[in-house]
Amino acid sequence: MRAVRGADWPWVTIVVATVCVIFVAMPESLIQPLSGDRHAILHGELWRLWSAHLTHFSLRHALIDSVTLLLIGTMAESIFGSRRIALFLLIGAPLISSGIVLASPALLDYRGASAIAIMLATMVGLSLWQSRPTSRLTLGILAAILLAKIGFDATGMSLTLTDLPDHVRVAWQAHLLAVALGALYDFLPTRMQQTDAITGLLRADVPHPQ
Amino acid sequence: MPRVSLPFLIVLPLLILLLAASGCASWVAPHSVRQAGSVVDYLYPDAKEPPQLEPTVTRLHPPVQVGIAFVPGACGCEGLVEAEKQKLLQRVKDSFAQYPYIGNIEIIPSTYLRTHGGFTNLQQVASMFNIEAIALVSYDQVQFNDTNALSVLYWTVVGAYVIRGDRYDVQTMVDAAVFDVSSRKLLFRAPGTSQVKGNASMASFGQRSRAARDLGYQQAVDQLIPQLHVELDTFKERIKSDAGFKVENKPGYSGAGDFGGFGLLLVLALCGVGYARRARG
Repeated sequence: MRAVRGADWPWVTIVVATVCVIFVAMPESLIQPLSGDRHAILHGELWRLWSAHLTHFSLRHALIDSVTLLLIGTMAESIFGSRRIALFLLIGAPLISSGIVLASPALLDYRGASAIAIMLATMVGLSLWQSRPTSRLTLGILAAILLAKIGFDATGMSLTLTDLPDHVRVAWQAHLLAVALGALYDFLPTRMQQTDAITGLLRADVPHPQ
Repeated sequence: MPRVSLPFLIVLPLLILLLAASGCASWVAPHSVRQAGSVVDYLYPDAKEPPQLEPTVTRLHPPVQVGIAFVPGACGCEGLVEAEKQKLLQRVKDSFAQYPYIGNIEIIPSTYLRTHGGFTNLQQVASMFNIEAIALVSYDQVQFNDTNALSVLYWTVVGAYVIRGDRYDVQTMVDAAVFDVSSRKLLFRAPGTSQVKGNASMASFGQRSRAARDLGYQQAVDQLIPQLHVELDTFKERIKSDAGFKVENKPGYSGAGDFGGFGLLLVLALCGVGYARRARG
């Protein structure tokens, strides 16, 4: 396993999930300046690159994403540590949003925390893949199901329990980017640790190789 | 050498002085100068009757791509040089960058608009710049020139340089009319006006009055911008109840980062694998 570290409380995940729920209870006029509006981002409202992941289209949408994030985030923080998860959420969230803006001109407004949840899930999955070879079959099946789901979403045949408005489609591009970013993490830390290029904040959280 | 009579020596300078004094008025600009570009002249150049608009539903697809341009002057007497026009339009553009339902705002150079071009020309420009709506800025500026009592001192020649004996009064009106290009419907409009008055010496009259004309446009646009914001807000409210307008989303408008119930089950399974491993460990 690349990194194992116990965390007392998954405070990063709890904060992010709580903010998601608080935001969805706020009036739309306050949420609109925070959503991933493509045009607004291109006009310099860069905070949306982060805040888009905390906004949702409906209460059910926010609740399912928050619960998912809470589950996977708790596990991720117990494996990688809260500081590292905080750092990767801070880096990963804008990268996903930027990727959507660059790659999907037709996607004009993005909301939802699922992409960061998928990024964490990919990190957790790859970590388990390395630390537990006997679980690889199960993990492989889960990965295949995840990719199949993204594929279904891409073709418009989404399987979702949320009540998205009619004009809203599942942003499969964000999920695909999240998988790529999560997978990228599996390669990055080793290099960064070897070259000692990572910040003190992160170093404090990196366990010694076992 | 011929002899010159005394009366002639007295009369000649007086005659010259009289001619010079009476000529002052002709040395400065005419009493009034007008520069105008009318949106009606541009869009309906040969209209003898009021335009007949068929009742259609105007469909708006936010964020709407908007163009903005000064309408061409009908008489070739363009009010502003192109660079000044671009600066003024840039200020209007900047003030509307905050609205998420307004997409890119293209400043269209006057050279793309033909005099009396009509909607045909407008459609061409819209296709060229990929815009759905256009704000046409028409203008009407009149400069009145007068002299005051001090102008009598121009006869001293030095006075023409130091005495402010000429007056100008520049009255400007700009009007921005926003049209939906495909339905040709006027969405909303807003005016801006200004009045700039001043005095100048005869020698500096041209320069000062030109600066006053430019200032007139700037002040009128300053007044136009907040009016446009108000009209835009009013229009936004109006289209909610007006059956003639329909706001539609562009294809693939919004995307949800939605893992859904299925994704939740996947995460539960993944957590199960993780915790089972830990329990065994």
